[in-house]
Amino acid sequence: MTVDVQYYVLLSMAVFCIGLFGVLTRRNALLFLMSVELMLNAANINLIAFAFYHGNLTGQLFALFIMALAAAEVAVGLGIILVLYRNFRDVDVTVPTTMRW
Amino acid sequence: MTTGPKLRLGKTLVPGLLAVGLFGVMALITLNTAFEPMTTAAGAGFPDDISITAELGYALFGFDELQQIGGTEPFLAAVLLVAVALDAALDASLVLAKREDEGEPVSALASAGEEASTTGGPTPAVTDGGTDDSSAGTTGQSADAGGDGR
Repeated sequence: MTVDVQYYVLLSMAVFCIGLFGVLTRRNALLFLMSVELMLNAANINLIAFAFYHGNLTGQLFALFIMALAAAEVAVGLGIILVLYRNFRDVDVTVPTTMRW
Repeated sequence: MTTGPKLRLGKTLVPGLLAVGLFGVMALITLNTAFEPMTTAAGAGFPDDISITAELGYALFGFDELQQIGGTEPFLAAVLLVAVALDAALDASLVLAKREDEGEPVSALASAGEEASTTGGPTPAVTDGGTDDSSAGTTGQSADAGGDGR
């Protein structure tokens, strides 16, 4: 049995919107990072579903690259959160305001 | 103070309505789009007798002549670029994890080595990278005492 492509698109939209909801409502930097990961993985679902839909492997390879870049992003993001906690004793993203416009 | 995952309810959830609305609009568009069913779409699916993992490997390293599924671009340059990006991210995380102890930078991967066993070493770091004399000091001493006893 093969699931039709619009259900994959709906799933990826749901995952993306959950991530967006997290970014818009949360203040904890760790939850921010998790929400961004959800949004990246929503893109992965779409890429893999459409790779199968078109019988082409390029989408799957792009998903692999997105995973690698997500790993790099998490490494830098966790480092930034570490520095944030060290300087402010807090991981609330609204506390550091010196780099705001 | 935000030090743990705390569920905030009430007015902070209002901007989240934007995400819910966006999902509604996008779902409406998707359900009104005529996608071909996966079983009848032209070119959908992969042949059963071909290893997808092997094909991915050939495409990643640019072995075009070994590929059986057509239309996949070689990605060798992208692999090298991602390797450099991951290396840079590793370096960046090490730089960010460095902390200053009385004006001296202390590397995250520094080892106290043998000095620690003879002189007691530098003040043990707590998990956030700072130093906490009261708790960390006592645990360090108790660990030393345990070692002597054995």
